[in-house]
Amino acid sequence: MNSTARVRAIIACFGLIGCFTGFSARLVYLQVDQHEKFERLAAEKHVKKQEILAGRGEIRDVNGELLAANEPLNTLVADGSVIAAGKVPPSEIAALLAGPLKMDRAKLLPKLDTSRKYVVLKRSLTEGEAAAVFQCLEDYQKRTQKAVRGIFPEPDSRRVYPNNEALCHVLGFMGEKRTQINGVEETERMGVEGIERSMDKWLRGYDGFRYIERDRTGKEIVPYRGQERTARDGYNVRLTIDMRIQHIVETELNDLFKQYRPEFATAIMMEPKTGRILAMANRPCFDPNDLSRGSTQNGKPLEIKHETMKNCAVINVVEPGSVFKIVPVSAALNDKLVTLDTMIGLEGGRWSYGGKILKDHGHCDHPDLSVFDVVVKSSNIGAAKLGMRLGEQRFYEYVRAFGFGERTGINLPGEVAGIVHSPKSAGWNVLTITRMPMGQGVCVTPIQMVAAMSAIANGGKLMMPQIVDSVVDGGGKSIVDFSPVQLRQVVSEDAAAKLRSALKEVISKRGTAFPATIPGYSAGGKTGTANIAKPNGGGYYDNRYVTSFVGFFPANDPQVVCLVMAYDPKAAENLTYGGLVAGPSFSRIGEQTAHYLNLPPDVEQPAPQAIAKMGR
Amino acid sequence: MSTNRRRRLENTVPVGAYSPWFLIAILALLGGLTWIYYKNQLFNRGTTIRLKEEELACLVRKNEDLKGRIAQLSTYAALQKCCNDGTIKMIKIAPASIVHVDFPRHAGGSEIRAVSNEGARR
Repeated sequence: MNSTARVRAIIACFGLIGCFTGFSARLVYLQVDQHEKFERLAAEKHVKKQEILAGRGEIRDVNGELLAANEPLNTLVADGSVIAAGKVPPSEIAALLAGPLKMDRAKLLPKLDTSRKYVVLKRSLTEGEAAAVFQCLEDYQKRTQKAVRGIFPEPDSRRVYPNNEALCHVLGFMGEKRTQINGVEETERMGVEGIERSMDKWLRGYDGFRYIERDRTGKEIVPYRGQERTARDGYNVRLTIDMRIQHIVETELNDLFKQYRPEFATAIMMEPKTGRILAMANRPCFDPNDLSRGSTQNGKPLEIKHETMKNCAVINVVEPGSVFKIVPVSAALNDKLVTLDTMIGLEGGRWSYGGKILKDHGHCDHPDLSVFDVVVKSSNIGAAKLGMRLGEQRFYEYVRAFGFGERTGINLPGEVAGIVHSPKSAGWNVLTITRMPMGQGVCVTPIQMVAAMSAIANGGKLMMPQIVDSVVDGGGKSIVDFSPVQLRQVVSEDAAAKLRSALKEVISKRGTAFPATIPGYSAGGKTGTANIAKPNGGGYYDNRYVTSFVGFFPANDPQVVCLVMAYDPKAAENLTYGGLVAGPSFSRIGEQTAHYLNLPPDVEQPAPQAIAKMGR
Repeated sequence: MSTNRRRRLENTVPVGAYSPWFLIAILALLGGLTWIYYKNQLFNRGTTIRLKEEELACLVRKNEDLKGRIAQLSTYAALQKCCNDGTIKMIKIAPASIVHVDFPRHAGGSEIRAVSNEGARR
C-alpha cells in the first residue's frame, strides 16, 4: 500500500469512528439522558390513566327500606375523528340517532360532523334509553353490513329518592361543585343538605384508577395493565327513622298544613329512652328528585323557596310558649322548693310585676292553684312565680341543663343553638324571670323541645337526639354504631315522675289538651300557644301564634315522645291554641303509632262518640 | 482406496457433529412457538377478562337500576296508589290469626355504650 492510500484509509477509518461515535453519543443522549422524557411521550401515546368511579353509599331506614340510591345513567359521547374515518356518513348517523335520543336531527348533525374527539351528544340517558340507542345502531349494521363507529356511552349516575317528598328535609339533596384544575373543569358531587351533607364523608367513596395501554383500535391490552388502585364505594348509612311511622306523621302533618295553612309546620317523634328519632317531618316540603316540585296548598303548587328546603325541626327558632313551663315546674320540684300540692297565688289572673301586667287566660281566674294545676291549667302567673322562687341564676342553670341554648348534637347540618340570655347579659331584664318560665324571651328549636320533654319522660335523663343508627359497608358489616348517649341527669326521677303525673292530667277534660287524647292509651303532654314576636323587637302580634303540643305515651312507661307544631296557623281567634290545632294531630299520630309499635292499650277505649267530638 | 470409496467419504454429512445445533435450533423454534402461543393465550385471556369485566359492570348497573325501581314501586305512597287504583288489594286478617312476637326492636338499643358520635364531642 502506498502512502496516499494509507492516508486515505486512516481518514476513512477516523471518519467512520467519528460517525459511529456521534451515533453512539446521540443514542446515549436519547436513551439515557432523555430517557424519562421519551418514556413519558410514549406513555402519553399508549398509556392512559383510567378512572374507576366509586359509587355513593345508600341511605336506608331502620328496617332497611331504601331512602336514597343511585340510578345508573349514561352520557352518550361521539368521537368526530373516528366517525369521519368510518364508512357511515354523519348525516346518516344523525338520522339514526334522532329517534331514540328524541333530539332534532339538525341539532345532532354538527355534533357528529366535526373533527373533535370528544363531543357529548346527550347526558342522563337511562339504561333503557342507552340500550335502545345501541340496539338501533346494531340493527343498522345488520341491515347494511356497515358498522357505525365513534359512538360510545360513558357511565354516570344520579341520586334518586324513591319516597319523593317524604323525609326530604332529613335526607337533603346533592349538589355539584365545579373547580378548574390545570384548565380542566372538574365536577365534584357532594351533599348539600340533610344526611347527604352531614354523612357525606361516609357516603362518598374513593375513586380508584388504573394505568392501561390501548392497541391501535383503542381497545385495552389487559396484560399490559399497570399500577392499579381499586375504588372503594361509599358506606351505607342506616337511619333511626322508621318509614312506617314517618308516613303516619307525614300524612297527619299534610292534613294539618292543608287545614290551618301555617307558615310552616313540624312534627318530630323520638324514643325518650334512647334519643332515637323515629320520624321527622316539615311542611312545606320539596321533592329532592326535582327541586322545583314541592308542597301544594288548595291544589296549587307552592313556590319552592330557599326556606322550603330548611329543616325547620333543627334550624328554625321559636318562642316555645307554655311548653316551656315544664322547666320551672320540674326545677322547683327537683330543688324541693314546692310539691305538687303547694298552692300558688294567682293574683286574680292579673299580676303586676316590673311595671307590666302579666295575665292568665280565662281558665285561670282562680284565686290560687296548686303546682299540679298550674301545669294542668297552664297558668302563666303560676309558672312565673315558680321561676321567681328558683331565682334567676338557678332557673337559668336549669334552662341550660335541659339543653336549651346549645345544639343537641343531632347528626343534621345547620342545627342552631337557639337564644337563651344569661342573667348577667344585657338581654336579661327585670321582666325576664317572669316571662321566660312561660316560654317568652327565649328562642328554642323544635328538636330542643322534644329532647327536653323526653328528659321528663325518661326519668330526668337527657338523651342526645340521634338520627343515624349506623354506618355499614356493602357487605352489611358495621363500620360505626351510633349508640345512645346520655348527656346528663337534669332532674331527679322523682321530680320527673311528679311532673309526668301533672302532664297526664293536661290531656283530660280539666286540662288544656283534651283533643290530644289517644284512644286506648294513656298519654301526657303540654300545649304551647305563643304570640309571634314582631321583627326588630316591636312587641308581639295579637293574632299570630306558634301553636304546639309535645306529648308522650303511654304515660306510665313512655315509649314515644311526639311534637306537633304549627307556626302561624290560620284558625278562628278563639280556636288558635296548641291543644286545638296540634292536639288532634298528636292524637291521631299517637293512636296509629301505638298500634304499629304493638303497644298494649292501657286505658279503656273511649266511646266512639267521644272520639268523634275530639276531632277538629 | 478406490475412487468410489473416496467420493462416498467426501459426500458424507457429519450429522453427529451437527445434531446438537439441530437440537438447539428445534428447541429454540419450539421455545419461540410456545412463547408466541402463550403470549397469544395471554392476550385472549385479557380480552376475555375485559369482556367479563364489562359484563359484570353492566350487570351491576342493571342491578342498581332495578333496585331503585323496586324501591320506588314499593314505597308506601306507590302501594297506596296501587291500592286506590285496585291493582292490589288488602285482605283483612282476623285478630285471632295474628301471632305477636315480642323481640327488641333495636338490639342493644337500651343500653348505654361507648360514644362514637361526633356530635357528642361538640
